[in-house]
Amino acid sequence: MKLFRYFMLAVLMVVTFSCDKDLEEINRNPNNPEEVNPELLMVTVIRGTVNQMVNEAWNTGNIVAQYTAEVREPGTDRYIWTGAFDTWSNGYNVLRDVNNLYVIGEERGLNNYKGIALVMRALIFSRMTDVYGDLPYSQALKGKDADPVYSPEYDTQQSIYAGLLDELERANQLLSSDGGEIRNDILYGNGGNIGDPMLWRKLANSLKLRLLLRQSNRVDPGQAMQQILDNPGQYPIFTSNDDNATVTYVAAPNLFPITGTRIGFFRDRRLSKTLSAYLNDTNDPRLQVFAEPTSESVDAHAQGNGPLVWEGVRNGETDANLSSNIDETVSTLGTAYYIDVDVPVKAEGIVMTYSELSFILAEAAQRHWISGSAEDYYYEGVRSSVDYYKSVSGKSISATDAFLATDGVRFDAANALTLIGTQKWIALFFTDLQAWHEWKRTGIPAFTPSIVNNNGDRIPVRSLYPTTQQVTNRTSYEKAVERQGEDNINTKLWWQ
Amino acid sequence: MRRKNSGYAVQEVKGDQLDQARETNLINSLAGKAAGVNVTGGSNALGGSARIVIRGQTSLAGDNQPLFVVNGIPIDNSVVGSNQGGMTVDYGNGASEINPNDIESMTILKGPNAAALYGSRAANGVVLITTKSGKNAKGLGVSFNSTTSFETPLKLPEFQNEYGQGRGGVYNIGDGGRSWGPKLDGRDMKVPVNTEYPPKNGEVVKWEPYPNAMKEFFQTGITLNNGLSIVSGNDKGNFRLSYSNLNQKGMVPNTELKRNTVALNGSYHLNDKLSVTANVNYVNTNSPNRTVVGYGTESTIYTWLWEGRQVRTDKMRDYWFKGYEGLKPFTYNYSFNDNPYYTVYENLNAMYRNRMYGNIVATYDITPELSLMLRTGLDYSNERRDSRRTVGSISFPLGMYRQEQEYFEERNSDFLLSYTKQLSSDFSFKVSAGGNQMTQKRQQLSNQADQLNIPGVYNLGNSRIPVTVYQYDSKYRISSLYAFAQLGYKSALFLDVTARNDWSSTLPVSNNSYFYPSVSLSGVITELVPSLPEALSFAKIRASWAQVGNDTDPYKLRNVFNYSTPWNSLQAVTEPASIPNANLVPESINTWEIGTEVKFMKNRLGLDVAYYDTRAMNQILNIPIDQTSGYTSRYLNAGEIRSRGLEVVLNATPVKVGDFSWDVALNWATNRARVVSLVDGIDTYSLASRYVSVQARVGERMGDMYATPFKRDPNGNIVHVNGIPVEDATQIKVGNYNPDWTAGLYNTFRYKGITLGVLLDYHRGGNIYSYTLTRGTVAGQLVETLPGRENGYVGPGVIANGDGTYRPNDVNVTAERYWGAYYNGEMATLDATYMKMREAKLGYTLPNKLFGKTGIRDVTIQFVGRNLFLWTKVPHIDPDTSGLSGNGTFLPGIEDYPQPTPRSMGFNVNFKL
Repeated sequence: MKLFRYFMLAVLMVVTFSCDKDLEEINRNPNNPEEVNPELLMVTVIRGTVNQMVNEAWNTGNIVAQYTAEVREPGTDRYIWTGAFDTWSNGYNVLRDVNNLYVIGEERGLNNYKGIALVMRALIFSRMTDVYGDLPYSQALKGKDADPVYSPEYDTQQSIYAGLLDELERANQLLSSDGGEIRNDILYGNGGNIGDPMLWRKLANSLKLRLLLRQSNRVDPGQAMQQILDNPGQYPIFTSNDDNATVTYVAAPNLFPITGTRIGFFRDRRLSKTLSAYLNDTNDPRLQVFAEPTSESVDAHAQGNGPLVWEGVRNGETDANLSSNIDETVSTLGTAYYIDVDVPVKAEGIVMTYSELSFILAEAAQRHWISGSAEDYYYEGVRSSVDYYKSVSGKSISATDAFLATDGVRFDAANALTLIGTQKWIALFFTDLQAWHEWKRTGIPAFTPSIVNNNGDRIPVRSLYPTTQQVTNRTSYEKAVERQGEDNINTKLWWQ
Repeated sequence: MRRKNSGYAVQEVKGDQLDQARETNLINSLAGKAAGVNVTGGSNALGGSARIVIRGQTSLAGDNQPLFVVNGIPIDNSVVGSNQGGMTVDYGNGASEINPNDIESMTILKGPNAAALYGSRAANGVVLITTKSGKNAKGLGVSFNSTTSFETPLKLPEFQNEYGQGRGGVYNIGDGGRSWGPKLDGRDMKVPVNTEYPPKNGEVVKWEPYPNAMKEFFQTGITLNNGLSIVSGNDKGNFRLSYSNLNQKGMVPNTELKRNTVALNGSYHLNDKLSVTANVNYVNTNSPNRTVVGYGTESTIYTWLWEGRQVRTDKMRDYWFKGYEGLKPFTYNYSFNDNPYYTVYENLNAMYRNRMYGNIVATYDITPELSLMLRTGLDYSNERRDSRRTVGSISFPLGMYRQEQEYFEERNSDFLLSYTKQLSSDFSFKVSAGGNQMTQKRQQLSNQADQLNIPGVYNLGNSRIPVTVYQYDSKYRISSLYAFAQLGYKSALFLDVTARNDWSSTLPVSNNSYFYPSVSLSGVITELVPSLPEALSFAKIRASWAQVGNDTDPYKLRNVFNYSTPWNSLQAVTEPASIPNANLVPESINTWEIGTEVKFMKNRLGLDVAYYDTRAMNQILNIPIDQTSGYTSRYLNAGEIRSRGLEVVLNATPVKVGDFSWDVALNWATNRARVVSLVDGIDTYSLASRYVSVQARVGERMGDMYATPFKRDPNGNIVHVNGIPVEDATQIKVGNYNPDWTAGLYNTFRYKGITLGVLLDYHRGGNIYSYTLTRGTVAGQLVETLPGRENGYVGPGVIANGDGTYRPNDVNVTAERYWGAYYNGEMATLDATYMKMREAKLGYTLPNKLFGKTGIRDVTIQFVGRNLFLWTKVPHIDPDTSGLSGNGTFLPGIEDYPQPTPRSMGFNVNFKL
């Protein structure tokens, strides 16, 4: 009996109720931190953005800008753009942590993290608005505010551009050698991943020039551009390839994003005839980096029967022609982008290069928005692009005098804007959707629409808004569509 | 279970129905046997899981599955998935480990009235299991049970056998295994050989179809199940010890499952007031290799649906390139797929799991009227999973090794004080009051080496890159006080009331306490009303009302940061996109039901009818908010679901002549669950999405499936652009995965010692989306892809003229393009009506006198079959399936490349000593 009483007592004790404090303690998450240091957000923000830029170049940008063409299921090339681009979902997703980076930087008095957050914010928002047009900006990212906004209003592209230029101005002011050490910087970090605030300032101001040019059909960029160029101390910009904003990938799982796909998918998108034609005509040394010779010509060459041939396929090629043996006759992209699983890909994630900046300045000079020689800037753009691809690929290519003197490369004042636009197009290879945006702004190069397409022979100029907008943000969405024009792939953007 | 006086629907499934039907997953053995109990197969993989839902879905967020209670203690029935996708293995649901040999009876409590006893988790019903004991044993008894069965695929896809591998009519080994290549007309063709690396077309073969390629890959599965039990008892106590051994060889080569179960149940009266009962179950499950399920390179079903129709199965068996053993697997295409033999023999998914569950109960009769019960129970499991991929695999080219540890523990301790009093000769009174504390712990740890240094060595130390670690520990507790009372009148009229209060750790302190009552009334008319017609042997009516409160999952209240993949040694975090809520309140479910049970002609005919109406309110939902707010969802209490249904059970003995009898058990049920409200401004809530989207929309049914349909002209013709049907932007409802109604019919014929039983299970209506149809047509594998192969295809439909008018489509496109675009979410959502012969058994019990004095008795020999026949219009697949997400959530209504349903035939032998 005694034994039973003890047993009873023991069970009753186990059953004794926990007080609220115990229950609260049990519900404290042991797995995750509630507070973090700002540098822990750096990889998330930079990788999240740059991976998306590489992926959207691969999935859409390269195709619509006719660097590559789809050979298996040509939906993008046929302009069957029924879904929205990922730019939106990725953008707002990363912006949540960009916001955290800014807020934590502010709490801790670390101005450099605030500055970086603003640069990333401007990069992401500008990329988004260039794809969709109007979008939530001033009311966005307030889901956790004391006065939360769950369905933000859209801002016009014009006001977004004005806001972003301001933010880049603030970033330029915040970033300094007194702003605290920049850790975990995978864009501009040194061997120890410690970032350089000066390089971030250069990126801020170079991006500013990109934005000023992009809206130049609507807002005269002259004064703002000249102000930057006149005060290099206050507004440092890229001055060489050393300043390039590119991410060098490391070991798996942080590899060049398309490496993770099965090899078959890599072979689905091959060199476009538009790019191969231009680069073959001008003997452009970058062609051997961008693409591989056709396997047919490799076999023949090995047997001494002819030269290596780089050949593309027309965008939106007919089914009948796609059914022929494309494996043999059309170049895949180069080994810098994928060789085999055990060979690390050399290609970098490009945010912005010195070469692009040089072409921006070349156009600005040509249009007399700034002083300086368009020709010098132009050659600087071509040369630095070739140099960049030399360093990335390790191939011994260079922008020889002979190459620079070739028709189609040689500067010609009479044809300057076309040359600048065309060489810029080549230099923007695999740079998110930049070449497409530039084509929308200038019409250069004069692309032929895909041979077979579902869009009435018009090259699309924007992506649909995500369908979720019609569900979770319908009122704002409808207002925006009414203002901007129908939500389809042919509605022009404000800056176009 | 109290059946005669229960105020709500309960249905019992006898133990012998289970241990003779020989289904290794307990849940599958319930299919078709009880009204309102809907069992859906999962992936059909060896040892895989099945889904059970009683009375439809009332929860938007939960899995809607009932609680499993063994001998009074809840046990875990979750499906624990793996945290990383692409390698989804169906490791089975927790209840599948309950050994049917040990089950005495299984009772299904359909409504939530039992929640006072078992807590919130009983809101979706309870499957109450009582295990066998030595209770009625006199002296020593030994029984032996042995089953052997053989499994073959019930249904395989219907392939086309006219065109081989390639695209656009051209043979191509570099471009995946699609069969849009040249006509299989017997011409000479060069194909790859395993002696040439890099892959090259070498050997010349006749270009012919190989129709049974997939069928030949499957082997006959073998299930051996042997059980031995010993019982003994006297008036002081009793005990039962059993051992069972399950040994399964799967239909997929090199898959295997072994399970050993030991159960011990003992009870002893220490004196005339105090008795103690203990039961302990130990289960060890292990497998050197289980199949990957779902669409993806690691699944053999995927491989076979992307394999050229000329590929010879026997040529695939020798799967290494000569000179590259362990490095380069040989196959027929080198861009997208692996060789299926290589997959099953080299890329293994092993597991080893120990589980123990059981409880100790002490009952003390303080006075003849007053007794105290103390009980403590434990369910514990620990599992280790090892997945390996060799170097050279298409998706893990540098190999992979992953080790996972899954730990689960739930403790329940109760005390219960019961008082019974016969108030007068007419009135009886019973009341019980008690308390319970439940503490549950889960720990998940996964380490993954995404690339290997030395091929063939599967150890985390051999990782070529930093090991990816995932760890998640969780704990929660519910403390409860509960009481129930019954007032009886003349053993014919009963009033039951129950009440329970829970305190849950998962809710904010200010809202963590919730109370829920129930009341029910039942009356046996035949005892209350005198002089009823004699044909009416029994009649009872019942009515009940119940409320149940519910909590949420742990850690939903506070902001945290999640870990993100590190960049080499740089750590990274990210804020979750979902906004937690520190002000959540408990969910609430209200239900009422009425029912009647009547029996006629000396119980030869019995009818049980129940109608119920359930409203689930204040659900804790992760409601979507616009992503531009920076977040995609936030937690809040919202929404109401109303679920109503009717259930009919009919039992009859139409014929009983001499030694011959024919018994019929028919059950029929229908359920409609509708979304009454969500939250202001939100009229759609996405429940699941894979290929099609399952959404709850206000005013619509639960289980509705949405997809973007093809554009139509005003006459309903499909609109074509460039010869291809085009999709509309707006999603429409394309189906609902819940059947309109279900019925199960069990016929039993007995003649002397011979018994024949046949169970038919019918699901009327409901839809299934077939991913096999969508992708199998893209791949040019299925019969649907034959029209237009030679001369192209002009799809029936129209072309828009651009001015609102339409002209007939006249654009000829290749069959490859057309069929590759045709079976979208709309076209591949099919009517899932089916009938299955779930079970058929023919048994013979040998007369005991045959064995004379050997002591052997009750010898039964049975031939048993499961899933013998399937009648359905759904092509290629068994519609009785549901997808499974990587984290272990079922995706009902979505067929996602399951393994074929096994058709099982075998025999079993039982005898006692």
